[in-house]
Amino acid sequence: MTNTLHRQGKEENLKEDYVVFMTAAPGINREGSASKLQEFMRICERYHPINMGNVKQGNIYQDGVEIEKFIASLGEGAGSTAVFTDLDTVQKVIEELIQADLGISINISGLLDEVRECCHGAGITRHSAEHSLGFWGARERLPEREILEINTLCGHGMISFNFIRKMVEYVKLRRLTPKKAARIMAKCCECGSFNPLRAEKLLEKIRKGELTANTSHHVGRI
Amino acid sequence: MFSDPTVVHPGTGIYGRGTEEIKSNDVTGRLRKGEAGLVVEMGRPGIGAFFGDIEKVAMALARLSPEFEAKNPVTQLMEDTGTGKIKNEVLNEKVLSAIIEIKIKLERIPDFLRALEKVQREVDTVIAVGVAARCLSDGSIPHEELIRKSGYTPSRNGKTNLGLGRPLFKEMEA
Repeated sequence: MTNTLHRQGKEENLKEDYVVFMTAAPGINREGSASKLQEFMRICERYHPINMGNVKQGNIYQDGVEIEKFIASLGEGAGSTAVFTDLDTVQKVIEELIQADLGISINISGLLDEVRECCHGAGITRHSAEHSLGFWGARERLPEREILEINTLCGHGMISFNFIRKMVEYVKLRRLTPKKAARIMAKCCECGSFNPLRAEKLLEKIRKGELTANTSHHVGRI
Repeated sequence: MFSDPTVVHPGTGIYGRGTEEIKSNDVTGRLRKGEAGLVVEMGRPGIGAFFGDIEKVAMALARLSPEFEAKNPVTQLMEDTGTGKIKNEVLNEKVLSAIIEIKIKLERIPDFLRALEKVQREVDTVIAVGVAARCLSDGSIPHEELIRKSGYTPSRNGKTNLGLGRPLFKEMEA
């Protein structure tokens, strides 16, 4: 699905949010792709992503995960994802992925012009691109911006508006630190595309009163 | 299945409600030169959608004769892709989200966005809209200008397929 397409945020936030993922195509290059998915993840892991995952196995924030075992047990049939927080690192990851020549489709979700420059710097021309045109329809049902910004970090919708409100409330009450709350939310995003650093920074701003996320449940008609 | 990304959909072979759209376009050739993909995700973010609303949008788009993507879970629930009619037995079902995915000629993007603009007022849920295309040989994105001319602002962020899949799809072989 388009699970990383509609991430919300200001440019300053989006500059810290790049999702690199590999997708094997059934009937073309999926069969026998397990070792390539594993190699993809090993390359990404060397550059210290803020999150990694795979819908079949979950993500690295889930309980009891050992990264090397996690990678070694990746099988064919599901894409794999790593999230990075700066463009320089993404550039290095792309260069190493080109060198590795794994032959499986690789996509990056992030600021399109910056990713294009990365491709250019690595000596390749991007193949296809997709834009979001935002949210249409009954938009009055959507919550306030901060809740939406965190929710869209998991495009599969595994982190509900109300759960985010609960985490915001706990942070405001000092029952959780922003970092802990962000990590709890990260556990719910099966594919690993959630960026806990972005969530943590947003929660920190809310805690300091720089943002005023309303946690009352009647804000959005869910 | 439309609400759980961790199970494989038997009709698409991939996880959850998803489709491959441009993620593997470098090897599948799903979208070729001169074509655009329109992904209309009903119920996202976080609200969910009834198939009755999904049908309204699918039928509005079907009037413009798009090609509904066959390897898509919503298309597979249609009685008739010519009309966009969805099977009666699922119309009252609610899902976390579901993606109507169509392929159109690039120059028809404004027509489809107009149709979507109109029908969006008739549904009680949100719709996440995306437009995709194969890039030109210099890496530029052919649908960007068409979107602007239609009165919309494409997002600054989006998805980029790097073209590293193999064997690379070659259009002349198709």
